[in-house]
Amino acid sequence: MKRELQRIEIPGEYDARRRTWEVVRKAYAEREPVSWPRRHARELALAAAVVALVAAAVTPPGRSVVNSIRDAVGREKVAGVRNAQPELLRLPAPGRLLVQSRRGAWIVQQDGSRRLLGPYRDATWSPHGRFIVGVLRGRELVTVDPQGNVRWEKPRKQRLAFPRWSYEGFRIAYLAGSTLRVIVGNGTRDRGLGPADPSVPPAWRPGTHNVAYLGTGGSVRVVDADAGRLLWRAPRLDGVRAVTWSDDGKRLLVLGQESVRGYGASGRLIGKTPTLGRSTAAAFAPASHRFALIVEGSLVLIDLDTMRGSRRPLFTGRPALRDVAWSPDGRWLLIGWPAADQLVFVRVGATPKLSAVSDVSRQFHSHSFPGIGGWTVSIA
Amino acid sequence: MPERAWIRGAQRGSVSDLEALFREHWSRAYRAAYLIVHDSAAAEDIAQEAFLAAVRALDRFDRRRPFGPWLHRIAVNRAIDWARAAKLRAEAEQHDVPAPERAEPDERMLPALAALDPDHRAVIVLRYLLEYTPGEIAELLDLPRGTVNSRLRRGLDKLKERLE
Repeated sequence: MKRELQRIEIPGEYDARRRTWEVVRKAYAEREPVSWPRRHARELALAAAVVALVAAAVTPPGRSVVNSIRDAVGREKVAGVRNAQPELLRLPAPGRLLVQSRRGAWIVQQDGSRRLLGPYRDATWSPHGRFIVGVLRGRELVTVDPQGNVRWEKPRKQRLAFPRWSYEGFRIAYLAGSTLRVIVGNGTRDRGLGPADPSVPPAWRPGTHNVAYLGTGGSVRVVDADAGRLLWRAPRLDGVRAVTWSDDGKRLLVLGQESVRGYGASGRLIGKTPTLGRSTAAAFAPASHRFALIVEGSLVLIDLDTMRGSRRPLFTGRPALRDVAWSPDGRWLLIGWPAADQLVFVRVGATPKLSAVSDVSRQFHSHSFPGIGGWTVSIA
Repeated sequence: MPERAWIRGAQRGSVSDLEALFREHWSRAYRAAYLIVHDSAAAEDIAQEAFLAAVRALDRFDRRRPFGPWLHRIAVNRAIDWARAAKLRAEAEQHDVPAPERAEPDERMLPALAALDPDHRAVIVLRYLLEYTPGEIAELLDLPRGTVNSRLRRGLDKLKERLE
């Protein structure tokens, strides 16, 4: 059998080999070699830590320092998901990912191939994944297609953050300094809507041009962006981290530092619940009022209508998880686990499944853990 | 073991050591991809992408691990994805494959392989071209060992039918 398989003649094998070697050689020449200390950073850090601990542990003040370090970092070792893949070779569900690293915004295709779009920050998908909007050099709003071709750019004097597309892509809301602004999707008719907290991204209500955002007074406001009219305002909540609408536009989730509130489209409070810990991210499941919530190191699912959650966390990763995105088919959740340098895919359903990719920072050419910018549909 | 020395050399910037690794592994990765996707251009892309991934990961590669299985895991998984997608698109995967009844005896293997599912093709290529054990294949493809064995058995049965 082996002889048979080896004997099969492949057309153009020699040329393919020559071409590939040229590409590989060029990529090798362009790579930034990692110095010996950086390549062995983990071993060096481990050795240094062992020496320091041994030295510290032999003196009484040292023992006290060791104990306080233990208290600060906890006694668990962050090992990450076992059998994690060393390379992101494919996404477990159809679609494309947007990943935000220190180098810029990356698109990851379902087969795992990735492309650096450019040095954009806060990048997000347009509704059908045909474009991406991001911030360049902190002060330029830029839209690009998935090949990285710039469609338009809009410089401003203030620091820009968190551009977000409306449901059909005709409007983009973004924060310029402490002002919420809205621009038409083709880069025209840019106007201010009012003072806003620059740390929380605005959220468009699907099917409308109503946008929810955190006002400077700490309360969430919903305005009709076209008319410039305030529709309703939620009571003040401490430490709001995020606002997000369900796909049908009937529920608004307001994520506070240690509680969640759910509102109807006209501002009626549907429910609220404490999160029993510091919550950092939430995302509605597609076509559902269920949302995934990250509370410190736990990922849980909660139904906003009843405010009841899964009995046990879907996933736990100490000390903290970060970012959460649903696959477009609603079957998988993607979360970041910075301490383990892993992206973790969790299948949601009767038979939960887990897969993970390690060494994520390196794969996105970053010294810090990258963020998840969204998981969108594939372009047909 | 020269492979470790090549990896060490490539990590330190030696193009000739990288070339030695390429010479050692490219043909098998390319051939494995081709036998799964049956498209020489796609196989070239797949083998190229696997090597580029290797270059990207070179600095952090653990020299105690063998390079081949790591590379083959990337190439074979990508090839399976490609072949599945091509099947879904109902592309004529066998367009440049001669019909079995007119082929010479030693040219019958390719069309016989082409008639298998991509998953069956992959385990046969891994077992008989790259010579991995079923346990190693299970690890490479992230599958239970029983699934690998059943795919091997079914794949071989279908191949036998085609070749007889």
